Amino acid sequence: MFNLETAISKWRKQLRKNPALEDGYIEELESHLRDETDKNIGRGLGDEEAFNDAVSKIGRVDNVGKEYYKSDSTHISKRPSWETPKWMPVLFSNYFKIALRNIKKYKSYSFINILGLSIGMASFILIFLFVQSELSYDTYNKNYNNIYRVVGRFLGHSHSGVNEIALTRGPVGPLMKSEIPEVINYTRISTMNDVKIFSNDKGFDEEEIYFVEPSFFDIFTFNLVSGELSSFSDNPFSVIITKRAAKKYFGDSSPVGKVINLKKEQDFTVAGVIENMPFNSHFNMDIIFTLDAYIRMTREDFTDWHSYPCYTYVLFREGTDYKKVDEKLKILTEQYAPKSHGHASSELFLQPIKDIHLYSQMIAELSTNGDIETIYTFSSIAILILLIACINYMNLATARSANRKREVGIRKTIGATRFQLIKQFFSESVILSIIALALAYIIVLLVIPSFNDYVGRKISASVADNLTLVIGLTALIFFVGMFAGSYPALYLSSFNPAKILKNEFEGRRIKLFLRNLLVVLQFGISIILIISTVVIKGQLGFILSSDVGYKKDQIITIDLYDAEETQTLAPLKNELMSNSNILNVSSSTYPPNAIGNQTEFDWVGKPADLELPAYCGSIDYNFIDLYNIKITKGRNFSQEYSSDAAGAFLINETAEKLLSWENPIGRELIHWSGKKGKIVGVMKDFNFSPLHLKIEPLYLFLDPNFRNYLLSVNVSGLNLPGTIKFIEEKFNTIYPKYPFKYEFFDEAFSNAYKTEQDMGNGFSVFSLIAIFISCLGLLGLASFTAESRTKEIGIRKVMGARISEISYQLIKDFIKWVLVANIVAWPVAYYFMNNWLQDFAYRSELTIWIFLLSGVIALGIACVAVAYQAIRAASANPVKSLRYE
Amino acid sequence: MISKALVAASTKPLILAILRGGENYGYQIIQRVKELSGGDIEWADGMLYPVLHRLEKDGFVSTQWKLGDGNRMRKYYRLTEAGRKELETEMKHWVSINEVLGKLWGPLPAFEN
Repeated sequence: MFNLETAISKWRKQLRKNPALEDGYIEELESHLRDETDKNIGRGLGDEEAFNDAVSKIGRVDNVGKEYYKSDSTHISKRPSWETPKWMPVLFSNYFKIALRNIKKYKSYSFINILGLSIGMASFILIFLFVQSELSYDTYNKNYNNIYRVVGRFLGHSHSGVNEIALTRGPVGPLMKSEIPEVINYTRISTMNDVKIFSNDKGFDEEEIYFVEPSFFDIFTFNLVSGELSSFSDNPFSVIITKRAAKKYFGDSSPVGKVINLKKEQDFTVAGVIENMPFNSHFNMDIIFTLDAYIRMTREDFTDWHSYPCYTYVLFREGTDYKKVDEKLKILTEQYAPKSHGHASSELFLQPIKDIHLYSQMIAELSTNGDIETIYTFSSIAILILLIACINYMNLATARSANRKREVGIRKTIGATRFQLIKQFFSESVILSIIALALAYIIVLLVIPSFNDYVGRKISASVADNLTLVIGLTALIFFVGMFAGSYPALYLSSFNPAKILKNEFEGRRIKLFLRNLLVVLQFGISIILIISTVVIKGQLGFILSSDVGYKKDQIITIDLYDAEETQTLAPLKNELMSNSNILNVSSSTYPPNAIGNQTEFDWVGKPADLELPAYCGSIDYNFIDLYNIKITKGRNFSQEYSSDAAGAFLINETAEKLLSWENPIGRELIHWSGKKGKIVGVMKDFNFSPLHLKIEPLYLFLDPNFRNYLLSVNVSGLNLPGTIKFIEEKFNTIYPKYPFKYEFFDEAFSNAYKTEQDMGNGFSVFSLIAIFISCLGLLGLASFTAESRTKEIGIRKVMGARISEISYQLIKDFIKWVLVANIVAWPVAYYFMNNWLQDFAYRSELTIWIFLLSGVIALGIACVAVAYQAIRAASANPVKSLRYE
Repeated sequence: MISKALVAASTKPLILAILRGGENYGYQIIQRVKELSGGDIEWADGMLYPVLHRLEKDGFVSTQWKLGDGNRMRKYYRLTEAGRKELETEMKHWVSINEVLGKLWGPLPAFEN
């Protein structure tokens, strides 16, 4: 029942709480309240309503008090002394001091925290730099937004694998300029691989040299250091070189006007020197000749619509919508490109140059490109590792909260608000993250040279010219500080001071639950990474050990060059066979693991609309023997059959199925060059493409006169260095114009899976880091648990518990959560890895053992991390622990 | 609704002007303001008292506790000589502002150009 007098006296008491309101003020206000209430009652309101209305009309008592304070106080600051100031710089030094004291006082925790955070941050920064450099490709060109590469796509054939080609036909560039108004300019580039260039008769091996049209220098951005571009456009036998090449060929003397000789065939005058090209370019040119010279030297017909001799780049008018040009280009292709089966065999399309590095994996790329998928994968890993490191901080900070609850209690009693405490804990975590970042940056500086070697980039960690990095690092400090500090800050500041100081402390269950959840998250991520590593490495092992159908070891492959050298091949082979350590020699267009020529089966009388896609390669008599490829029907090529020399075929089993002839042996086929020959045998299927792809129909053609680029030498393995030296000598006497380049076939075979190897290595490094940081956290938690249970352990020991029992007790909890983490991680890992394996036509199984193994690895490492602390705690002398206090 | 800042600025002359008609206590003063403004000027009633307190400290009003009707203690405020002068200055200020505004808001003069 409402009583007006009690209500008023309650209200009066409320007012007394306000330090600014003195007795007289309150009395006056009360008198006002009573007048207003009376008036309300007079209006016919009930007591309660009348009172409430009067109270609300008086308004907020706090504000009234503040106004009184203002007129009473002589201070400049109008803030009442009992209110917390908004800005207390003095406290910051206190926060800083307390943070440093805490770091010093709890050395092991701080060590774990800072180490974990800095490793996490270092991984993050490295990946950040890597991603940044990958995204910067080709943007050094002033016009990069308007430069496009013209590329082609083969249509019609149902060949598997890549059907896009970076090369174009010769007439495409000029045609585009004349037919498409948006095209301002075009340039064509041709390349030669593995040539020797001479300066004063001294020969240098060059892996790749370039031939460009003069417009090249208008489209792309280069800095000319000395010489004239005009002499490059005027004289077809002039050359532009980079500073690096100038140093290599001419030392310190000025190169302009000097002469270099290409393949002992043609002299070129140096017209100019340019700065070295930036590493983030999809071509890396050192020596640039004129395209004119290329045409004269190779007699390649650049008006022909059948061959693909060059790369074509076009410059568009500013603001051109390239999709529209793409349409026009398709129409042009329809008109001019050669047709097969009544439709164009290929189409042209455009590629923005800034997309080449990350989105293009075509035939004949100018360099090994990156992959956007890798960028996504590793960016996610970077964030996950940072997350793991942050979780460490959160967990350790909350675990240690018992040590700090008194501080919180006292701060609150003296008058700290919750907001101030939150600020304090955030500044602590930010200070810690600054220390961690400093350390991380040192780690990055130490690691970056080997990281660069590993990824094959020239990434600089310098902050001087990298504003994004500076912003990124600052953001990183605040992100880590805020994120890692969020949970402890919000949690610690929520304590009720009265309860803390009276030692009634609640909320343990929620805290434990969250902490365990975070541990599960950490280990879940680590286990996913471990499983991925095991799967990727397993697949690599599967690839390298699976029976691909040919011999891989003790074979050296040597690159051969031009067509006119074919006649010299037989003498070279004979010379090589004279060495007793050389068992066999063979020449072919391709090695057996990369037969890439796409064509069709053809024979006299084949129905015109029948399309039978096939891969083909050209080999000699020894190839099948040397690589130990099995013949299942018929026979190998043989010199005993004189008909073979005119042209003969071997097909694989898949081709046999495709052709589905009752007896293929003896049937006649037509090679793409137009030569005819009989099928003499059927080869057992072998993996002539990477294991990503299924085995497709294949034929091998015997054509002793066709140019074969590759020499395979089967060596005995005795005196290998001597044998290689012997081969090199013979090679150099017969081919003085070409560099000697050799490879071990088994290495070349595994290098074809470099992407997967890099991926596997990346994953192993990062899963190691992840599990290491997670274990650091676990170690911290374990030592904390052991510490807070010292007395319990002491009593247990006094009662007769054994060390092993106590250790088990301590370890048990953690193990439980790592097991839970396994169960969470498995489906996720299965999903991702199953997806990844789909890329391979031939793949290892995702067995339960992989998951069990990864789980056991994680569990084992976690056990080791915890066991040390547990055993130490369990073997402590109970007398000491019980006497403590 | 009159803005907070304007209400705050005009509180002092308002109170002083009301007190010119003789001594009065807080509740009555507020009622008077509400009456005169027809509810356009609205403030939290409690906020009047710190202002009165301020005026007392500045010596513009003097106060006296009296037992009013209903056996209720009331604090009466009376204008002092200083308060009278203060009111005059305030009045001058407000009148001059009013004049300026009046001129500006009169019929628009034709602009010459």
